[in-house]
Amino acid sequence: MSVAQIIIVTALIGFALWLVSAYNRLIALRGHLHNAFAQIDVQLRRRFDLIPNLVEVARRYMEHERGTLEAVIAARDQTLACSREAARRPGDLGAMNALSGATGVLADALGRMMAVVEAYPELKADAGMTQLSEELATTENRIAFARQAYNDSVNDYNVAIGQFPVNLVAGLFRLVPSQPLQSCECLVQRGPVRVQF
Amino acid sequence: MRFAAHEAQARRRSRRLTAAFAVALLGVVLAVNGAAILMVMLVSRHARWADSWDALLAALPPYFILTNTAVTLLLVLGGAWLEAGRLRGGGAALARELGARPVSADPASLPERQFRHIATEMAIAARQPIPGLFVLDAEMSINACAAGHDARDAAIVMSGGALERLTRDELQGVYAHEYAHVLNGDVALNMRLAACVSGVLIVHQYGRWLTGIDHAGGDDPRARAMAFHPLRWLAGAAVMAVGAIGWVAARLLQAGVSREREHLADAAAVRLTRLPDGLGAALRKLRWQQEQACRGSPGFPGPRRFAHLWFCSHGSWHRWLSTHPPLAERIRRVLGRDARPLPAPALAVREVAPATPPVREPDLAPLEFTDGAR
Repeated sequence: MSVAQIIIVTALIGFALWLVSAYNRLIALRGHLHNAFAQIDVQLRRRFDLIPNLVEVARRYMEHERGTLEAVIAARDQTLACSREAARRPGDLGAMNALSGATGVLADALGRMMAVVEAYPELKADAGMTQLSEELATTENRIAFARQAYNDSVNDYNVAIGQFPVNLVAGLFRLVPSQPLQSCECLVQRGPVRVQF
Repeated sequence: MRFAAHEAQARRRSRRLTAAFAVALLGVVLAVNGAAILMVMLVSRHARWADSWDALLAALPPYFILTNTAVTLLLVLGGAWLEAGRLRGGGAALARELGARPVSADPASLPERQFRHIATEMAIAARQPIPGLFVLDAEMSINACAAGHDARDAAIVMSGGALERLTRDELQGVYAHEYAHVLNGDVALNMRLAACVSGVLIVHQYGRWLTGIDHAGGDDPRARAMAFHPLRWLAGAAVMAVGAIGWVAARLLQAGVSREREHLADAAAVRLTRLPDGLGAALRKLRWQQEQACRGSPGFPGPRRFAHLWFCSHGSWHRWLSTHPPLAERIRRVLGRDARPLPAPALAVREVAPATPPVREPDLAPLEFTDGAR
């Protein structure tokens, strides 16, 4: 083999290795992304499991607020359906938007319910309610952090498939950018920041 | 959050630190040899009158420098190895040594439940595993510490006082600070530093043993006879001095690195929780606690050797030897303004009812870590 042939073969092997490693990197990043979404899903399920318990405890004390409680249950069921759809197609724009919308409705309903709870001191002091409030607080935090982690993953992935020359590999294997989640709809809003001097 | 990148940086830094320690070790070896040669010049006329370097070396006893070097290296590295072995048991072992008890999987008290929940939240935020969680009931002041080599075998200890006196957000801030230490690799770094410090300290202790100070008052006549050998005493004093200087240098290095890491952990905690108010309020409560301690409330009884592990170390050391930056400075950096100390009374005892239906943890597979961060 001549020197030119050796150089060409080496370059071809080098190119093939680069192609494989670039593709594998993109697939790993996409794996992170799916994994991060699964984490949000885990926490959303936790929230879905939690809400009926919360409503059950509240029902014992606030019989006259049946409408508020039913709105929470309805919004919970709607969000559950949307999240199943989104979990089936992670990164899909339409499914994500539907989920965001449903989550917003649930947030409103639950927010109204928690505001009503404030008017029932015995309910607030109930040990079960204390536990459920803590469970809800941690679940909301977990959802928020999981969303942040998901958006970080989406960002890593989108940046990677957008950069030259990896974008050529992405185009070759039809890897498309993912959609980050929009603003955080937390069910339990943090109170206004109190400045203490 | 790019904690994998942080870990890589921490590994680079600990390599540099190891290099610094190697240089310090070389210095100790040279100093020990220098002291020993001076000693020989004091007692041997040949050595004192030697007019050239070669003549001086020839006047020394056979294998003199080799023996000195070997003994010094053996002491320092052996001491470091012993200490590292003690710390190698992992975070949980160290936490138990401090007297802490593990937090149960389903704690009955609300603060402990919050502690466990917060740990899960932070693990999600950082996309890293949850460390072992411990409570040190005996410690009534607000404090916390992290121990262990990496996120997998790390343990985070909260004092009983911290659980009793901090709100959820504050507890989250303190926890995030300790967790950031784990993620940044500070805990492993600190342990290595502690091992180096104790290694150098052994040289000092060897010198002390050589001088015979400790045998002087003993009943054993043989030991007393050995005690006042002037040459031994001189050699011991010289080795002690070298050890002391090395120890101070190592302590300065340890304290300097530790102070820098504290600020970084504060910053990472704010980034993890995305809420400076929690950590800020916790630091203000610590400051209040410090003021109370100055007024005569009981101080911090924990072991000083692990001072750098704690969230807030008490004591009036010199600024340069302190492992933590001043609280006022930390509060200024976290909150972006000066803030007065915040009184930290014990919060009402909060139990959660065991009778309520437990919230089912979704049985989906836990987070998998596919990135090659390790």
